[in-house]
Amino acid sequence: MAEILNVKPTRMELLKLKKRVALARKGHKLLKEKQDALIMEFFTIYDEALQLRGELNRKMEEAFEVLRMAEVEVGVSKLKEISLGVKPNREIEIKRRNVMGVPVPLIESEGFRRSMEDRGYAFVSTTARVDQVADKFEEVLELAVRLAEVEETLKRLAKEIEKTKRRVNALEYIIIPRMENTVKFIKGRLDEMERENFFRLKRVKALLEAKAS
Amino acid sequence: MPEPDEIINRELMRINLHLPRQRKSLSALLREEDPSVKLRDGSEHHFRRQELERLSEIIDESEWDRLLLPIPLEVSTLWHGYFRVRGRLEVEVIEKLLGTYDFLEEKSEITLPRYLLPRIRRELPTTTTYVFIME
Repeated sequence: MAEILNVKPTRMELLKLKKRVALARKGHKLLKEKQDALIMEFFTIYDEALQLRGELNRKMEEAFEVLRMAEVEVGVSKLKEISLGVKPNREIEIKRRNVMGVPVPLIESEGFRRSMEDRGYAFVSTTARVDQVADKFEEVLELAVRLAEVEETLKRLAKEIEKTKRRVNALEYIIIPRMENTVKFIKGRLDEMERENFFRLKRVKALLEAKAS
Repeated sequence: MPEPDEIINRELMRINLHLPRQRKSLSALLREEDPSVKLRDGSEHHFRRQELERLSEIIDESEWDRLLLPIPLEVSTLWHGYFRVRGRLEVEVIEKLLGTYDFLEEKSEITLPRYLLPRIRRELPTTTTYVFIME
């Protein structure tokens, strides 16, 4: 049961409160719209995350399969030696975009695939299988970066949905009912005061009439 | 503790703080090395270059100056389940994306069902933005 607000039962307060109820209802409607939009956005990104996760798993399997074959072909120690000569891939820059007030990361996840010369290992002492392994793992890196962006976005959106939901519920189940109850209480109190006044006048009139007669 | 009205007013003020202070044209954004706009809350919103390039393919080069980004997708309390897009070029972009564009009809405003929003947002996550309108 919602309580009532601590206000004086006057006509002025009643008018003020009615305005506040109207504002609260509008606010509730708008926040509900925001909540719906956030949920819609969340599920759009969720689908993308699922798809990316599946694709990443598939690419990882492929990459490790090729790596195994390269290990057999070239030898583990030789492969390790080659890997020491590989230059680091480009650094990623994390920018920001905004989704309904939620700052989420934006990463341009392209340009991780390099040519053989850019990788830095010796071309003569390696085989085509080694290039294949590098290709596959660069693909994996690109997907992993994209997935990191999408999953972080999901987390932040989920937090915002929770916050908005709490606000919507507070308005719907606490603030608005409390205000409405207070309006009802003031109306009742004003009616009561009017009845008291009416009764008092009646009594005075009866007394005056009795005095006159 | 803040009054409920204060909380509501703050929420209503906060709800559109993610809108840009000033939108930028597609041509200006394409020229920028790091395309972005400043938002009302003071933060930056960056655009994905791929999206800008996609938009440049969708509309004619002569109109790059007139397409302002991000495109607002208006969600109003009046029509639940629908959203509105305003502006001739903005409408053209959205309709071409949805495959409903008819060059004989020059619309400056469209109201679309909300289930189409995910399709638009999936294609243009950084070049569109939500606007919440209290009517």
